[in-house]
Amino acid sequence: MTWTPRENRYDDTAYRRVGRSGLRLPTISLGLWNNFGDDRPLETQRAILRRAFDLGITHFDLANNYGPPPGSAEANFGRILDTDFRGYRDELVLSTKAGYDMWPGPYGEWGSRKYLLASLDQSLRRMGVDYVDIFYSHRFDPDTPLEETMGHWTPRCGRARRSTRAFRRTHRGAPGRPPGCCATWVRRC
Amino acid sequence: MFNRWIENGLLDALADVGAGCIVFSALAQGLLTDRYLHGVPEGSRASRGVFMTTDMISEETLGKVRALTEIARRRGQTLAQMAVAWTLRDPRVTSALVGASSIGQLEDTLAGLDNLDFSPEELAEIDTYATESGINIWGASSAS
Repeated sequence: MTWTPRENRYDDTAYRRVGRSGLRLPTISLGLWNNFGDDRPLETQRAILRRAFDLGITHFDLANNYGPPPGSAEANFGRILDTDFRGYRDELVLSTKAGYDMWPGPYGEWGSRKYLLASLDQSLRRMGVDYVDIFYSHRFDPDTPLEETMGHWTPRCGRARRSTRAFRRTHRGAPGRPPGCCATWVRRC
Repeated sequence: MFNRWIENGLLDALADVGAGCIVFSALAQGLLTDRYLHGVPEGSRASRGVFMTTDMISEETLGKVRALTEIARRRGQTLAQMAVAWTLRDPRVTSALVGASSIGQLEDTLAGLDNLDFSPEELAEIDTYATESGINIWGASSAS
């Protein structure tokens, strides 16, 4: 049976503006770090996501490595998105991240442009979406210039069309950064 | 409450540049709930040793948890509800990320939004117990 979200889902939910941007987010958002891996029943995951959306939670937060195993949270979320949220993608703010160890070799972690672009493409495929709204650098890479890590999102980067489109619509984010560092990249990018 | 580094300059910097702030781990991996007050339960993050270890749960920390639980009770909230509401006391914080392993947990956390107001006395009392507790597992990444 097809699921239909509650009609009045936005009536009682408060949204706050993200800084001085045009984007607004619910005061509580749902993180998929620990309960959306292959070790949890898909039906429970589905029930939580449905209820969250019904309660006006429009922001779901993921990362490339969420699971376990890494990648499975995005894949499970993608499955549920396909069956339950088809037609509601633009009512959602989806975020994902790259930074931690995802695949073997020198291009599978940290903050190089090579890794971030490849990881974003993988995330989009796993979730079955054309874009994410927020793409985070998941951890500070002391060996890669900040311009490279934070500059990859700009439209001028000529990469797969999918990524370029994703970047255009993507806001920047950098959790766990020291304050000075944050001010620095905002000025530069 | 047990990891207050964003108050040490980051929120000011975000306001300066007009950026938002989405906070995470408001419940300190579950420490800011009643989950660990009576030992480490089976299946909990601490029992599995993932992202949290039993040595992060000291008697001193549990004392703070009990005191904060009492403040929450007076507000008609669980500690988890108060902890999430408390992160939203600063308007520069846009949203608080929460996890949920069940619908019940999600609904319970959301019910904390019913009381987002803190009196100056409540905030001062919370400050007595909401202090760094050695649980910042991301410290290395945010150190300059």
